[in-house]
Amino acid sequence: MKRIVIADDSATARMFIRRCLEILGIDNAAIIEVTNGKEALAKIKEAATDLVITDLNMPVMDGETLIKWLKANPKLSQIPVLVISSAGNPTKEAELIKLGVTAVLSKPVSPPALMDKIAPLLTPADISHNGR
Amino acid sequence: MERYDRAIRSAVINSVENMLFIEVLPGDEQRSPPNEPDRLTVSILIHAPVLGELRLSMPESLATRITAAAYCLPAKEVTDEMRSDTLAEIINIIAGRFLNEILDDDQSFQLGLPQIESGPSIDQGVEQQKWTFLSDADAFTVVAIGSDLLRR
Repeated sequence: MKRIVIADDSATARMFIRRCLEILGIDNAAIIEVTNGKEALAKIKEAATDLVITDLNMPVMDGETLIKWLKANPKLSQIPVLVISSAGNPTKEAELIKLGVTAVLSKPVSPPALMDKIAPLLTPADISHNGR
Repeated sequence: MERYDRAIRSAVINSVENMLFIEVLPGDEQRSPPNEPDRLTVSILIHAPVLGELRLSMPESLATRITAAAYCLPAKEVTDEMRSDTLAEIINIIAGRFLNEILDDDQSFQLGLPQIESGPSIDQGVEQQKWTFLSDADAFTVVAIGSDLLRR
């Protein structure tokens, strides 16, 4: 995993996600933080991206709109998208999976829950020996 | 109302404890803290399927302690921006958990963006309910506002 884009308007939420990735040993990827879907889309188009982690409720462009843009673009539609949001429930999760999202997690995120969802996307090279 | 009470208590206690590893206990409603000037308040609107608002209010000292815990920083390194952002994220998570508790599984919901409030934490004259919680010696409150929300 070389490049991860994290979209959340909360700096605290982004910090928690980044810390979870570090705890899991995913500390050799370039992590790009943005505050809304529009910025995320711009960053994703700039360079090959291996994972998008997004909140749903954001200003300017929300997470659901970001997901629709990604899935509508043949060049970007295969990028795995993980939603981490406080606005999730079984119905919402089903809607998001139907849109093409890889997995949905409820806030606050924990390292084991995050690992459970992203493990299928990782190769041994993605995890450093410093993982705690 | 008992289900509603349980839902808000569970949402607040679990959100703060799971996010920050800080113990929170239900407080005495009769001894809820006054609206002191040094209290920070953050609100979030609920747009659907019911209309309402939740507000979280706490002393600056507690907000600083919570933010320091979140960022693993000494309290003196906590900035106003970090503190506001942390409170906003907490009310966001509380609102999500609360709505998940009171709504059916097949009901999705829509939240607004958290806002830092500069006015008093309690608007007089609108239907509301307040809950008090304790973290060590500090008390903080969560208020639910709106008849649509409170009459469910």
